[in-house]
Amino acid sequence: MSSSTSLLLRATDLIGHPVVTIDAGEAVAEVKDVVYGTTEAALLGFTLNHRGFLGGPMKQVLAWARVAALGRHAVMIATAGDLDERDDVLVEDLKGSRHRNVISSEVITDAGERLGEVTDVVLLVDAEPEVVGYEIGGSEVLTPHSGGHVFIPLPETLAVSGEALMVPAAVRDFVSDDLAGFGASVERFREHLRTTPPEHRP
Amino acid sequence: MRRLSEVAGTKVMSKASAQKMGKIERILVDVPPRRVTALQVARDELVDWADVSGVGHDAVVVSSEESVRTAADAREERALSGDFDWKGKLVVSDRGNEMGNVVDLELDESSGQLEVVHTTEGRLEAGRLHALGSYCLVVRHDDSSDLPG
Repeated sequence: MSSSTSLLLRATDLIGHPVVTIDAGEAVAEVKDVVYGTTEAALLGFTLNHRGFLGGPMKQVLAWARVAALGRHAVMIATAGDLDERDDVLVEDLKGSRHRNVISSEVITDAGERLGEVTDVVLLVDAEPEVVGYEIGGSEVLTPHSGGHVFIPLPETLAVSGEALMVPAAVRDFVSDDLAGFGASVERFREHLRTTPPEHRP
Repeated sequence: MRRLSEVAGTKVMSKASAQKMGKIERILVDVPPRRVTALQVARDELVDWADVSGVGHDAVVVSSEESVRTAADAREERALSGDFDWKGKLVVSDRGNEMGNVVDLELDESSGQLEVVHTTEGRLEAGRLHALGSYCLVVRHDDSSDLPG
């Protein structure tokens, strides 16, 4: 948490957020859905709805690379031209369903233990927004009494497939059960990965 | 410095004829250039801020009746329909954070330049204003401000 304005958000909290142009102060769309990569730990972008009560799905999409900022109120883009419908591969990636299934992927440690399944992606919203972790549900190992949701920090190296996320077993020590305390967990876990040689990690 | 809320509704007088031309129905501001651009003095009638010679507590004085004009472009037409009305306008930082709604603006009467924005959450320097749209006023993030955005 590098500044007073950084903030942790669930990616699904962005659904319904207006997409606002920095150069003109216009709300040009609203977020319909958040699309995650399954082969890399990243957001690919957003599908969009027209705004207003007659708003239906838009042809255009918003690629993650075109997002200028994510805030508590809005997704900011530099200009309306940053919405894209011309890049066929991008549109197919964002509108197709093949990339969405990081949600409900199993989370498995490198010690072979199942921690639960992904229910959301956690973003650190600052000058440069980034994916910092996952919300995990159905985690009987981590929360034996509640079976509730926990947050795990995103390791700097992480294997991701369409089926599962592979995380270091050490991640168990850095789990947080609320989003408010999660920022510190992310920092501590990254520090741990930086300072502990792989052969000495549990 | 004057608050725009104090200027709104003031009668408009002609310096050339000493006759009343109307009253200020709407104060048009734009960002850029972060200034008052024109005054709406009657339905479809505008006076450029450059033609205003005095802003007093009792009247705003304009050079002459010949200063009155209609909207010059599509953006001014939208302004006359209320798209860019500043009062109550949502303020959003370029980081995507809400900073309240505009309560009042302060201007330097001699230049028409906006100096300060008062929002429901606090005060910010008009130098941070970046764009004015129908949806919101976009403001630059500033870590050193009481209202960083």
